[in-house]
Amino acid sequence: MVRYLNLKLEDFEFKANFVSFSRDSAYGRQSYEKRGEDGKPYRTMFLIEDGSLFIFPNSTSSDYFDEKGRYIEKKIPVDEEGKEFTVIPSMYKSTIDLKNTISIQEYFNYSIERTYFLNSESSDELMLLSLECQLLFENNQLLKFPYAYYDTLDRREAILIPKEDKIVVVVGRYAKPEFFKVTEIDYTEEEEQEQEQEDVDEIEFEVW
Amino acid sequence: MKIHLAFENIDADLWLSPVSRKKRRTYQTKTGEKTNYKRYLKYNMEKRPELLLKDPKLFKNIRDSDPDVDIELTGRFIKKTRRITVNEDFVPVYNYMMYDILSLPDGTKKERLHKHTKGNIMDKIPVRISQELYDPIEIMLSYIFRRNLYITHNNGLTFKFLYDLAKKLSDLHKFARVDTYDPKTKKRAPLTLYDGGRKFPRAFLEGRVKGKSYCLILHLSDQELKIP
Repeated sequence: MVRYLNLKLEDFEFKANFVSFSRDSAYGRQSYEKRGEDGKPYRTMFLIEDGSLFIFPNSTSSDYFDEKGRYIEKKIPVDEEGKEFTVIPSMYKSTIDLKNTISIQEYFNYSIERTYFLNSESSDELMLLSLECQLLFENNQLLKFPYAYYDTLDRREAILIPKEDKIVVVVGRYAKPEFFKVTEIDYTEEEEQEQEQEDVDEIEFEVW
Repeated sequence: MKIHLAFENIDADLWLSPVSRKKRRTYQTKTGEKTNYKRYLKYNMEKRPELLLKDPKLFKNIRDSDPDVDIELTGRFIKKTRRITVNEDFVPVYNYMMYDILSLPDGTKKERLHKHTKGNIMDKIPVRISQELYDPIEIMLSYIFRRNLYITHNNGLTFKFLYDLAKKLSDLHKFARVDTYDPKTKKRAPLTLYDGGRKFPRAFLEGRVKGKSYCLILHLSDQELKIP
């Protein structure tokens, strides 16, 4: 089922959906197969730690339990300091106001995870958005909005790139660039140490 | 992770590090108590509903076999599992051939004997920063960058080498193409970070400077930005 986003560009509101394209859809999907000498395929199974049972893939699950081994229905995500994480609501829950931008240099701070192009039955509005993206692009700017298919704790952003009359949507994670400095040696300490060493008796060459 | 990198006949072993690390996340109860993340047995995949419903004699088979939830097994906590290969009779096997299967978008399939990918960033032939410089906009419209990694120094000499390189790229507002070479054929080969890792056919280096500090980002791509 196609899910529609409510997009808002200045005073225009319209519905649009994402159409996915990926590396697999362009160049093919790679998988592996194990076969015997007779060409028959073998399968992968799992042996549990005490060796008592073979299990099929996907026949285990993981969840959170309390000290007594009881299932916890309502659990709260926290960081290492115990601070609660903020849940990012699904982008399908409210209208997305297209007003935030990033520069092209900032675009390279994102690691891209997914690629889509934007599709809409409101062709006029989509054309308008395409023109807006193109105008921004000429000024080294790209539109962006928070991306969350479901409610999530992982912050991702969708960035709109105009290409060949279409709007490509790339979804990625932002990482603030880090600058590296040389480790500076404090020579004053070294000099003091050298002075101290002068008082120390020198090693004789007649050692044996 | 280390990289053997060369630029204008100077080569050095440098550090490669990820641009970001995910914030560590744990869960606690409403009352603030700690929780334990545990793995447990769910059910037998062979008896999942969609498979059972394919059986035209499902009712008869259920009536005759009298299956039930295995209360000894379902919900049992387990820790580690070991991956094993079994034949069609579920007997463990140790001799087998491994094949790579490529399912193409047109529905056809290609296969070959499995080729184990080898990491090639610490080879004798260094990863080379080429003299080919590209406009960032051109690169942005041509490739999708899956992974970004910092290239960092490990001593004062390599700091100078990387700072000068970052400054050069930053002043020119260009990205440099980065290439790895097949040691046998001496031809360009996709960059592979580690054994069994993903192959990246394109890699570019971006340089930025701020005062006496630098930032060199290696952008890796395995997909062209082509709308189908």
